[in-house]
Amino acid sequence: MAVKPPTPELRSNRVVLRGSFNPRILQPAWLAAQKLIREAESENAEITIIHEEATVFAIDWAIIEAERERLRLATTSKSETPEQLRDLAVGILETLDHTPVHVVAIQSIAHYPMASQESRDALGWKLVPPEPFEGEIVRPGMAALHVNGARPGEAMEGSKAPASGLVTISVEPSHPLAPHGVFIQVDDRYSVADAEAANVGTGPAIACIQENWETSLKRAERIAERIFAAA
Amino acid sequence: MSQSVVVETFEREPREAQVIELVEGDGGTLRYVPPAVRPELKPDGELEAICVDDVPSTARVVPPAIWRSPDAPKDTFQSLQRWEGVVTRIDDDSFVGRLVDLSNGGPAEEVELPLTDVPAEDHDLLELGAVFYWAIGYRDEVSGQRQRVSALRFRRLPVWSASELQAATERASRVAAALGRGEG
Repeated sequence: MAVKPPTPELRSNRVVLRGSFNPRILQPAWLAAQKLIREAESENAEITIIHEEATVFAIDWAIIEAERERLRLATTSKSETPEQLRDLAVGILETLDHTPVHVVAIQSIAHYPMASQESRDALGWKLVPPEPFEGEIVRPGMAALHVNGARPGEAMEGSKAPASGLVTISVEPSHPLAPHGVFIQVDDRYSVADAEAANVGTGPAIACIQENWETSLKRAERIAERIFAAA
Repeated sequence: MSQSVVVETFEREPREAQVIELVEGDGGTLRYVPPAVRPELKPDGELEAICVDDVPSTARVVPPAIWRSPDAPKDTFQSLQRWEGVVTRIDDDSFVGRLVDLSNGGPAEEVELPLTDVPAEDHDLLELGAVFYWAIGYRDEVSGQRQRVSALRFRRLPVWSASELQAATERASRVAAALGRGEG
C-alpha cells in the first residue's frame, strides 16, 4: 500500500547544466529581450553579480546562476509551477543553440515537516540503523544520507558499461524547517554528450529535459513516498 | 604565495563563492577561479577551507568578486492545484482552454477564463494553440497575510527553431509512413 509522505512545506526544482557558458550574456535584460521572462520581471530583478566569471540574479519565480562551466536555474518559494523553470531552461538552450552542454541535472527538493523529534529519529534510524555505531558513539543519528545509482533500465545487470547518468538521493535534517523537518533532494543527472565534444550544441540537452522532466519529478515523488513508508 | 578561500556549504550547494583576479606585473590580468570553488563539496555540509597554492609568485591579488546566492523570497506560494492548458478558442472577453491537471492527473477538462485574468505582459502570447499554466493556491506574505490567488502565466519559448521544425517534419513523416500514407 502506498504511504503518502507528509505534504512538503517548501518545495523547489532546479535545472543544472554543465557546459561552456558566457555569464555576461545571461542577464535579466537579455532574457526579457528574448521574451523568456517578462519585462517587469527583468526590471525588478535582484542582481547579485554580473561578472565575466559569473552572473547571479533572482526574479520572483527563479534564481539564475551562470558561471563559465555551469548554469543553474532554481525555482523560488513564489514559483507557481515547476514547468516555468523547464520552459526557461529550454528557452535559454534554444536561443543559445551552439553552446556545448554535456550534463543535465533535474533536481527536486522538498522540505517535509515532521511531528516530533521522535518521528524524525525513527525515520533516520530506519534508513541508517544505529547498531554498527553503538558503543563507539552515544545515540548515533543520521546527519546526512546520500544514495546513488543508475536509473532502472539504464544499467544492465553485470555490465560494467557506464550508465548515461546517475540518480543521487540526499536525506538530511531540514534547516528551514528546524527542529524536526526533513530535507529530501533527488538529483537526476544525465550525461547527454561527451565533455570533450565541441560541436555538440544544446540539442541533446533540450531533448533530455523535454523527455525526462515529468518522469524525473514523478520519480522524486515516488522516492519520497518510499522513504517515508520505510519509517 | 597562497590564497585561502572559504566556501560555505548549504545543503550541498555553494552559497558563497569567490573569484580571485590576479594582476601579473605589467603583463596583463590573469583571472583565476579556484577549481575547488566548483561544487566538489564534501557531503558533511560543514564549512570547507580551500588553500590555493599554485598562484604565480609575481601575482598580486586584487579585490575579489564575491557573490552570494540570492535569498529566497520571504513570500511563498503554496499551490493547491495547477493545470497546463492549451488555448482552443478566443472570444471578445474570454478564452477557452483545454486543461490537463498537473496536480492529480485525470481526464482533460475545458475552462473558460476572462481575458482580464491574463497578465498585461502575456497578452501578446495569447493565441490559438498557446500553452498556459494556471495555478490556484495560497500566497503567504511576510506580514502574515494569506491570500487565495489564481495565477495565470503563458508559456514563453522562442519561436520554433529550424531543428525543431525539421524534427517535427521527420516525426510526421514517420507517422504518415506507419499509417501507410505517402508524403503527399
